[in-house]
Amino acid sequence: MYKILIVEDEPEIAEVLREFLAKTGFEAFIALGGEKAIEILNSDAKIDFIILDMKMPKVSGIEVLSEMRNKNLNHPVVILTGSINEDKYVRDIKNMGYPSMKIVSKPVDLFELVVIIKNKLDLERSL
Amino acid sequence: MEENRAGEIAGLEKRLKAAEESLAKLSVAVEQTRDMVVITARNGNIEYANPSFERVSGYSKDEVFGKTPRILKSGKHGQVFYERFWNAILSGDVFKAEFIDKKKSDEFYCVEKIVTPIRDKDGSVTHFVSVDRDITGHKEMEKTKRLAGLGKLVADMAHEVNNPLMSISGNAQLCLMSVSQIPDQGIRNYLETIVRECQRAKTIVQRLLKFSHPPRGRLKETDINKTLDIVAGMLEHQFKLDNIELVRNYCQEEPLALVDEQQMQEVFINLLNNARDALPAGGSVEIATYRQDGMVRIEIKDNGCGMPEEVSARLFEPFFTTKEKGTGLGLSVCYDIVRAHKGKLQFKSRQREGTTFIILLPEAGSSADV
Ligand SMILES: Nc1ncnc2c1ncn2[C@@H]1O[C@H](COP(=O)(O)OP(=O)(O)OP(=O)(O)O)[C@@H](O)[C@H]1O
Ligand SMILES: [Mg+2]
Repeated sequence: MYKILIVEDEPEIAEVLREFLAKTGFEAFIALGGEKAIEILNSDAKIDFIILDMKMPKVSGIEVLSEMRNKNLNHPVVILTGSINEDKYVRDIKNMGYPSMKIVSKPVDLFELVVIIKNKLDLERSL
Repeated sequence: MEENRAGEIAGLEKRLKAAEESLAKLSVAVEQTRDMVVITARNGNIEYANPSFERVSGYSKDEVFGKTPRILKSGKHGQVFYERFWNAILSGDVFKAEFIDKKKSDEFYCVEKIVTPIRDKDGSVTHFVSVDRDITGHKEMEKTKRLAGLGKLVADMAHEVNNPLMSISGNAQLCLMSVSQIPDQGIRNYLETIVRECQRAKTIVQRLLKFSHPPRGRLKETDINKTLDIVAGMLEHQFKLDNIELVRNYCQEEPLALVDEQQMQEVFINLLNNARDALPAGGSVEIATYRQDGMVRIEIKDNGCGMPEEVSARLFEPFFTTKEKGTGLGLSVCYDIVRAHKGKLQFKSRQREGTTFIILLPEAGSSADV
């Protein structure tokens, strides 16, 4: 079973995502905020996929991405935003060298999100 | 005696000279002041107009002599407003108000007007002097300031609103998944409505963000005819279904302007959609382009319902809509995008005859495009 890490500082949203993914056959677990995510990423937990919120109070999504870059972690990621500054995020993420990273804005169509995740995982596997 | 005479004459000459000097000073002052000064006879016929009036209104002195200031009427004020105005000045009172007037070019301008009756020795009113200060720029500034404050507020609000929306929509989608096996279609419909309405709220927030913070993309020299063609191509099918004929009247030579093409497409889409909404029973929409005086002029003209003054006065107000499902942000977004391109967005409308929206953009390479 694929393991998905949900990085999101709002517990209500994180929980909805977790439950929905669980019902569609994934095993999902939550990092409430960027600092928690970095802690998990630095442990030896098995992670196949990351859903990453951008705007988080202490450690932001961009900071999580750059930490991953420094540690050479290449998990597939989909970005979640509250639609504010979307253009800026697209630019920042491109500048970091992820030209085709998928960005979805809240409120998200969860059925669609699952399709995005499945496609990405299939692609990874076929590589 | 002789000496007395000479002294008297010298005194008179001195006074005459002083009077001439002060008259010259006055006339130079009136000629050079930045305020528009117009003097009319009691019946309203214009007898004098200073150069500032010529500069702002676009009319030369000779064009307005003998005419009345009615040629400046913008249609932005109701009958009552003009009645109050005439009653005041005819009874000898000073009238002071903000007026919206119309230039020779049909553009509107906003003035702070003071009209003072001039009386002869017997106290009867013979003339009026009208002094207008152009405050169009101030009005724009006020709006810009308001929008800048609003921009930050909206950006913060977007985040605050989208998170609860995500939670509402997410929980509804979870329910949808849980009831996927039960036969009650009703419940599924309710839940789908919740999800759909969350998406609608998201659209509103996104449009708000756009207009309070127009993203400054890359400006590229663009053939506006091509941009219009792309948009017309996208909408043509729907227009046909709605019984609307789309007529293109492009100028021959490419109208080139420096634009963010995506934003400009959005402007055209908004205006064309508004034109379509004004034609519920079908009709025709003309898209025309012109090159004139270093500007590219784009006209989108419908022969639809037009609009009454209550609507046209509030057109560019955010959230102002007469449509059941409208956000009322379409034109606000257009206005902002066009302004960010140093252009102008204007319109003409007549009830039951139709509406024309006019976009003026500085032509690429012309001195206006800086
Ligand atoms: N071509 C037109 N003919 C007649 N009325 C118009 C036209 N264009 C705009 N309006 C009026 O101006 C109002 C505001 O337009 P605007 O595009 O800002 O919002 P909207 O069209 O109501 O909403 P939305 O753009 O979200 O669909 C409209 O509701 C309509 O009453
Ligand atoms: Mg509209």
